This record gives sequence, structure tokens and C-alpha cells, in this order.
Amino acid sequence: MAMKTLAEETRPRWPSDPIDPISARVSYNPVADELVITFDERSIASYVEWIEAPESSDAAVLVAFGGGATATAPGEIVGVQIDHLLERPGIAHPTWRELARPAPVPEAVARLIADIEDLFGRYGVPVGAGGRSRG
Amino acid sequence: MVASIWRTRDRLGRAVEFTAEAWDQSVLERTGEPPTIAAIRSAVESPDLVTADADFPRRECHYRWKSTAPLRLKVVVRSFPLPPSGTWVDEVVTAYSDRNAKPQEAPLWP
Repeated sequence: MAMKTLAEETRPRWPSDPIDPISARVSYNPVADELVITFDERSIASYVEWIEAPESSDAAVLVAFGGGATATAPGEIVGVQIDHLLERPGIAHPTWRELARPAPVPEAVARLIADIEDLFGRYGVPVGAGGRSRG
Repeated sequence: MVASIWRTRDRLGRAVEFTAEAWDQSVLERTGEPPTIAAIRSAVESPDLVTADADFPRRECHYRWKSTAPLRLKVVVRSFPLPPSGTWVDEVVTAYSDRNAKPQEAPLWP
């Protein structure tokens, strides 16, 4: 499938400010086995971009695209998504499974966000012919 | 009993349902600009691209291009046997905007 390229200024980038796990919004969809974490309560229009990790295609970042009532710059990563949480990534990362429970502890949220930041930093996301975008 | 928001037919004439549970859990939980109920229905009825899910053999991903190119709306539909009769049904399980399909997704249509 053809990939479209992104302008440099809208390429996904990890936020420069520290992420407060207490402010994060955690949502688990049991039917889809899908976990979505947004880093804060702001209403930010975003899209899902899968990380090109060779060991897993289940981790993604949520990338702001500039819509909505927000000052967030396009390209800033505003959250993360995990597909098939309990079925697959939750086996390789047992601590992630706690995020499927109601009201997970902030330490578990922080751990998963740190793991995804690490994955994003190592592998990035596809940006088309120009190569990968990394943190 | 889960409330139905709409029932429609996909490109192959299969009945597909979108429930209030799916709307609450997969769409409303996302902040920002979630897709509309009508947009999700359009993606099922008139997709620009359909792929086999990267992981589940009985799930299909329906894509419809958005005006905010290069973004697309992705709607994942699963087929499963409904107990106790075992009748197969199709329902939307999640919907969101993305830009690139997972590499393992295989094109089914067009």
C-alpha cells in the first residue's frame, strides 16, 4: 500500500514536556481488546500511526493533526494505542495487562508510556520515501 | 440487549451493525474530533479500500479517505457466531483516523 509523505513540521515527534501519568486518560475497549491513552484531558484531534517495531505491530502513537480547539502543533504525539492488549502484547509485557482494568495505578500508566516512547525512539513510524520519523 | 445505532449492508451485501456499546467504547472515548456516526456508516457501505485484518481472520478493515488527506477513517468489522443459534453476525468494533495500514494487512477490495 502506498505511503504518503509528511512535511517535516508535521512529522510525529514525542512531546518535549514530561508526561504526567495522573493526568493521562486511559480507555480500554474490551470488544476490540484495544487500549488508548491520551496524555491529558485536552480535546486534540489526532490520528493513529503504527510504530515500525519488528517484534510487534500492535503499538501506535496518536499524532495531532492540528484540528480541534487546541494550540497543539501538528505532529506532536498526544497519546498511545495498543491493539490486542491481552491477546498478544500483554503476554510479552505482563505489566501492560493492568491497563485493561478499571482505574489502573499511575505507575502502570507511566511504565507503558515509557515503553512506547522507547519503541518510538528506536523504530519510529513510516513517513514515506523520506525515511522514518523518530523521537 | 445492546442498543443498535444503525444496521446496514457492506459491499458484499452482508448485514453490519453498529451498536451503542461500540460507539461508547471505541469512538467517544477518544478525545479530539471523533468520526461521526454517518462517516462510520459510509466507510462500511462505500469503502475506498478493504483489507483483511493483520491479526484476526474474521475481521476486515474498511477505509474511507478523509478531506484531511492523507488521513483515512478506518472502521474494523468483526464476524462472529451469535449464541445460542450460532448465526454469524458482523459488527463494528472500533473506528479511528489513521494514515498507514499495518504492513500485515492484505488488500481485499478493490
